[in-house]
Amino acid sequence: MRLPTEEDLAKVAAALGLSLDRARIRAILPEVERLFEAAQRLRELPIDPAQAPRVTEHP
Amino acid sequence: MKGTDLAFASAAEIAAQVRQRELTARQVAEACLARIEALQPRLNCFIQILSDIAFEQASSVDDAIRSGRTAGPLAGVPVAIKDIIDVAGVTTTSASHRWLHRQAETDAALAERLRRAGAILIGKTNLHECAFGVTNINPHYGPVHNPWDPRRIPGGSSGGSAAAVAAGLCAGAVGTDTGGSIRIPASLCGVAGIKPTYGLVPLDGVIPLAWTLDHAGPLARTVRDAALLLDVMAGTVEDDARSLVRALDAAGPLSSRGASGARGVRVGIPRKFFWEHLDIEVETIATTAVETLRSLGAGVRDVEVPYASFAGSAVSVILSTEATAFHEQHLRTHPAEYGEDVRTRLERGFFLSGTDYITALRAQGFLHREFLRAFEEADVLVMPTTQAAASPIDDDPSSASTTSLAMSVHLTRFTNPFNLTGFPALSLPCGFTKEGLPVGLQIVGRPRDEALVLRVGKAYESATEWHTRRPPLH
Repeated sequence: MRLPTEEDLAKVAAALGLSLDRARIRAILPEVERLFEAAQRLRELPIDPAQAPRVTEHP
Repeated sequence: MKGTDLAFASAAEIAAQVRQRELTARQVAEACLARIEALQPRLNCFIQILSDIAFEQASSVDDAIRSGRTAGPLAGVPVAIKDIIDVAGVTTTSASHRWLHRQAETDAALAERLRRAGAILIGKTNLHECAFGVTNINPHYGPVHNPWDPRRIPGGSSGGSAAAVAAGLCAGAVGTDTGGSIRIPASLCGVAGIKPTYGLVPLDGVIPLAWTLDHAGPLARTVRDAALLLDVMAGTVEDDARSLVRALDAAGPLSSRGASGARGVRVGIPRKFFWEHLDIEVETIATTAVETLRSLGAGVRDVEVPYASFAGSAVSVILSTEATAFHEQHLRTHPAEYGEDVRTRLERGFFLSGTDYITALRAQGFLHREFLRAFEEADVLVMPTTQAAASPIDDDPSSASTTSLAMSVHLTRFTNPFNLTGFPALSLPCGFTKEGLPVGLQIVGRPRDEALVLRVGKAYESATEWHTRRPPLH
């Protein structure tokens, strides 16, 4: 998957009603990219598709 | 006992002397507050100094002892509380903008336990804003300075707590730890700090950062004092069979293997990931520490921790999502009231999806099981707490935020996997760099095996003198 662009973030911010201007989006883009990569990487783990998440307590 | 001796006395020594009426709790509080007044301008460890509460509590302890009532295990022991934890009648600031402060009407459960045990709550310590960062450079309250070199960071987010303990401003302190926030400053300030098993210490009355990863625990100058504080905070002190101090002090066999000290303990060295990309001095110092454990009779062997490098990714996603959810309302309306680095960390969380979050929570369960596999061949895992010692304070507005964001990734590498898994993890001093900066060793155990983690830590501490060094504060 490709990394998000400034344009992508601007669209999402508008849809979520966030008051982020272009300068702010540019400032946070590297951190959003880093998180995006982290989230994608987790999908490489060989997790049993039926495994449920634990939401409020540790396994 | 007075002056510097009292400032660096152990919690156990202070409590014993107060109980035996060789010292009053008021004398301890007076000495402690005087030292704080002298060093606060240089170190900035505290956001609030609780003189009235300290003297009131000291009087209560002294009255109890004079009238022959039972004094608690922390009778007269000065303890500092991270200012993200409620103390009744005091504002909890989270070291953030005043609009995020809250007035605490009651003590947090852990603070109430400390008070009931006779501790003197001496002050509320400075932290990285909202506990969301590791440098402790704070736009609202100023940076905390490392007592070993005030030009350097103390680590964070419980930097004020660690620096206060290192500087002899209190005998112990409380921190919180969501990605390493007890252990990183403990390492960088040369003190002991333990993040216990997830859920062992109650978090009622503690402002959350990320519910799934948040822990609270003690910092102290010795492992035994950390155990003493943890016993009280965890509520185990009234249950003798579960007492950590009892486990440390017992002469007989403490584990199923019948070992004492470090003898017979299987120490696992997870070379891959946890011993990579180290500063050369840190690597040398930590390697020597492992050899010390071996010389104490521990069986040292390399172990694999499968998928260890994925833990940080899961922590990033869970932490960002939960922290943004907690701060969402204020973040939407008053974003400029956050420091630049914390604002960036919070705003990025808006762009994660629900499926990203659930994927990370599923990864948490998976990694918990994988990490447990390492304990089939080891009783504890040992590694450096951080890759490097304390770095210089960068409070230049043009670069501070970028530095803070980079430091979080760098300094939490070896600590945040154990927030994800919830395993108990202790950091204790294991040496000093040529520049005189402390280096920390991390000892990790199975869930609920704090007793063994602390026992190995105490054995190491007893064989070395790092914990007796004092920072050059004159």
